Amino acid sequence: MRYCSRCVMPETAETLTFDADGICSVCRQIEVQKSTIDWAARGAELDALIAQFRGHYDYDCIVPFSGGKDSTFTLWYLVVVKKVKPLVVRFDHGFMRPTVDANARRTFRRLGCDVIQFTPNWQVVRKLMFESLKRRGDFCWHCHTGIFSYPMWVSLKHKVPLLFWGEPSSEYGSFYGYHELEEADERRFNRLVNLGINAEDMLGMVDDTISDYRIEPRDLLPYTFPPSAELRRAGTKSVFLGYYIPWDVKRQVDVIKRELDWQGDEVEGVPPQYDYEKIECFMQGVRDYLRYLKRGFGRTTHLVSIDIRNNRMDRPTAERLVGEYDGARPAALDLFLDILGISEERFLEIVEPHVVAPHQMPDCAACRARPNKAPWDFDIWRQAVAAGKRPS
Amino acid sequence: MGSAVRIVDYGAGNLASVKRAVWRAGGEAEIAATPDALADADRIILPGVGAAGTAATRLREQGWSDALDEHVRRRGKPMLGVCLGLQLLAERLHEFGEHQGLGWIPGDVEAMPASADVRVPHMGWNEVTVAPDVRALFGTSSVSPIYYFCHSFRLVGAPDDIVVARTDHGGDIIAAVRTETVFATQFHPEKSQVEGERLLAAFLAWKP
Amino acid sequence: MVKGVRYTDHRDAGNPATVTRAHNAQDADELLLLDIDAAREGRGPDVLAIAKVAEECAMPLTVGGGIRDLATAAACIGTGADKLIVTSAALDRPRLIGELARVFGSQAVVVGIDVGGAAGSWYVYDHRLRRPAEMAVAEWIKRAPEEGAGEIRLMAVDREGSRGGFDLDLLALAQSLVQVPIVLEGGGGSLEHCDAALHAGADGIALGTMLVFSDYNLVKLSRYLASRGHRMRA
Repeated sequence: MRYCSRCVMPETAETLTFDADGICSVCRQIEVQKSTIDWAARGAELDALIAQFRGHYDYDCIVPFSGGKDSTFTLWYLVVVKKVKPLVVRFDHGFMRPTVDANARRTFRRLGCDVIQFTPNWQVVRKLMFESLKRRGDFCWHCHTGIFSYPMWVSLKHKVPLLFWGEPSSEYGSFYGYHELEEADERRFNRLVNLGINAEDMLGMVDDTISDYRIEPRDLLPYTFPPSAELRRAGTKSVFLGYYIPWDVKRQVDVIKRELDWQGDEVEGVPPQYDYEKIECFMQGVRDYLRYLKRGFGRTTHLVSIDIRNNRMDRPTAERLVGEYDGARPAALDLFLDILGISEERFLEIVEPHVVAPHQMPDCAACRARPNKAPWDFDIWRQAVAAGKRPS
Repeated sequence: MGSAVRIVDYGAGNLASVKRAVWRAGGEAEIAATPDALADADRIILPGVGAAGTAATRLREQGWSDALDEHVRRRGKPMLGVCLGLQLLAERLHEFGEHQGLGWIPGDVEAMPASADVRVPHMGWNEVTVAPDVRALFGTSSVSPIYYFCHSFRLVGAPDDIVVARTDHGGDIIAAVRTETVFATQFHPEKSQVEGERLLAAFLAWKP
Repeated sequence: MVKGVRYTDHRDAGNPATVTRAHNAQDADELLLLDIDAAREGRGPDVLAIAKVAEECAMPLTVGGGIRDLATAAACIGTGADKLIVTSAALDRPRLIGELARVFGSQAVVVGIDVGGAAGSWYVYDHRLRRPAEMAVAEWIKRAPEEGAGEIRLMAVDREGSRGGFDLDLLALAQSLVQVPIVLEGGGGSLEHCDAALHAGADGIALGTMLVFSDYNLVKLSRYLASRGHRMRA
C-alpha cells in the first residue's frame, strides 16, 4: 500500500491522489489554505453575508448543531464574535453520549439560544443502517442524510434562509478545493453526503431482513433533501463558516473549553490526547473499525496526519500511535451487531466485498485479539440499544 | 436576478435541457414559440442541433431572423448561441449545398475533415483555451475549462478579434465567438455540468 | 431501476431520476439509460421515465430499449436523449442503423452488442430469447459502423454484475475491426479494472454494479484514473 510521503494517509482514502513528490492532495490543499487565500477578504464576505440577513427574519440564521467541537465552535463564534441570533437545530442520530449532551445543554444556556431537537424513528433508523451497510459498507446513511437534510426543512418551515455549517469538506478530503465556495446544496448532498443514494432510492431498497417494521415514503422525509426549487424560492443560503475563516481545530477546542467549559471524552480507537474528536456518537468506534477493515486505516491515522500537516508531530510518533490504536476491536461492535441482530461472521461477510484494493481484509482473529476497553459510559449505550429492541 | 430569458424554438434542438440548465445556473428561462414572444425578453438563447441549411431556412421563413435582428442587433439584448446557434451566425453554410446564414459574423461553416485518427463528428468532452481577458464571460477560473461538444461542421474564416476561445480536434476549432451583444459557443454548456452552469450564470449577468 | 447479473437476478438499484442526480453531482461523463424490458416485452421506450432522467441530466444522455423505428427514436430524442442505443432491433433489422443515422446523424446512433462466452467461443447474445443469435460477433462488430453506427457499446454479458474485470480480449478484437469509439461494459469492479480498460484503449467504460453496490464513486474513480495518467475532467 502506498502512503503519503508527508502525512501517513494511504491511497485507499477517499478521493486521495498523490503528486510527483508522493505528497497527497489533502496535504497540498492545506498548503493552499495557509498560503494563498485572502482571509481578510473572506472575512469581509462573511460580514456582508451576515449583514444581508440580520434582523429580517425570526432568527438571523440556523446553526445545525451536534455538540461536537466544530458545531460548538461555530455557534460560539457566530453568537459571541458576530453577535447573531441563531436558531439551533440538532439532529439526534440515535447515538448521543452523556458528555456531549451535557456540553450541548451548557452551551445553549450560556450562549442563550432557541433550540429544536429532532429524534428520528429508531425502528426506521435500524433498517436504514442495515441497508446502507450492505450497499456501501457504511452504516451511517441515515446520519449523513439526516444531518444535512433536516435543518434545510427547518429553514423552509421557519423561514430562516441562512444556514451556517462548520468545517468545509476540503479540510479533510478532496471532493472540493479550498478555492471553491462549497455550499451545502443539492449538488454537494449528492456529491459526497448521501453515498449516491437518495431517499427515493432507499425506499425501494430496504427489505424486512432485520425487522418487519413497515417503512412508508413519509418516514424518509427527514432524510430527503428539500426540492431545490423550494430552496430557491425561499432564497436559502447554506454555507460553511470554514470557508470564511481559517479552520484550526486545536485552537478552536481551546476556545470552547475556556469559554464554554466544553468537555472532551474518551473515544474508542483514538489516543487520549485527541479527546475532542468525534465524541458525539457512541458508534464512532465501529465506524472507524469498519474503515480499518475496508481501507486499512482508522481515525488515529487521520488525526496524526492533521498534526503532521500542522507541524505538531513527527512521523515516527505518528506511526507509533497508529500502530497502537488503529484497528482494535471496539467494544461498541457488540452493541452494533445487537441493533442489527446479526452475528460478527455475517457482519464481516457483508463488509468483505467493500474492501478497497490494494488493501486486503485483515485477519479478524488478529483484530479480535486486540479488544478495546469499554469507555466509561458503555452501560448507558447498552441501555439505549436494549430499549430499542422489539419483541420478536 | 429577474432577467427574462427566452429560448428560441424554431424546431431544432432540445430546448428542455437548455431551459433546465438555465434554472440550475440560477435563472428562469421560457421557451419562445413565436418571434413575438421575444418582445419581453431581456436575454435570448439560440440553441440548435441538426442540419444547418434547414435551420437557416426555418429562421427566415418563420420570421425569427427579423425578430433577432431587431432585438439583438438593434436593441442590444444579449444573446447566447449554442452549437448550431453559433454556426447560423455565419455568412455561408456549406452543409448539403450552400445556404445563407444570418451573416452577423464573417465566415463560413464547413464540414470537418475526418481522418484515421480524427473522428467526425467531434463528439465528447474537450479542453477549450480561453483568453485570460475573456474568462469572466465564461464564468470560469480555469485556463482550460472542459466542455461537451457534438458537431460535424465548424466555423472558419471568422476574424481573430471576435474569436474568444479555441479547441483542438484534428486541427483548430473555433469554440466561441463574441461580437457586440452576441456570445456563441460551439460546445453545449447545457450538457457540460458545472463548467456549463458557470458559463450560463455568467451569461445571465453579462453586461456587454 | 434495477441492476442485474447477466440480464437476470435484478436487484433494486434506485429511482432513475434520483440516481441520475447523484451521478450528475459526481460528474459522470455520460449517462446510459437502458430499458431492458422494453424489447423483451415488445413495447416502446418509456418516454415519461426518460423525461424525468433528462431533467436531472446536465451531461450527455444515451437512451436505449424499445427503439425499433424512426418514430420511437424521435420520441427519445425529443424527450432529451442525445444518443440512441439499438441492440436487438438492430440485430433483427440492421438497416435500422442507417435509417436512424440519416435522420439523427451517426454520432447519435450507438449499436449495442451483447457478447456471451469468452475469447475463442464468443457469440452474440439475444437477451430477449436468452440464447445466442445467428450473427457472428466479429461480423456484427464490423458491420455496425458500415450500416452507420457512430459508436459501439460492447457488453460482455457473462461478466455483467460479476465485478471480475472487463473483457480486454473482446475490446482488442473490436479495435482490430473498426474505427468508431468503443464503450466497454460488463465486469468493471475495481479502480484497477477501469485503469486497465482505458490503458487498453477503450474510448469509454460503462459502470453499473460497481457504482450501485459498492462505495466506489465517480469522484474517487476519476481522481484515481487521472493519477494513473488518463485524461480526466477531474
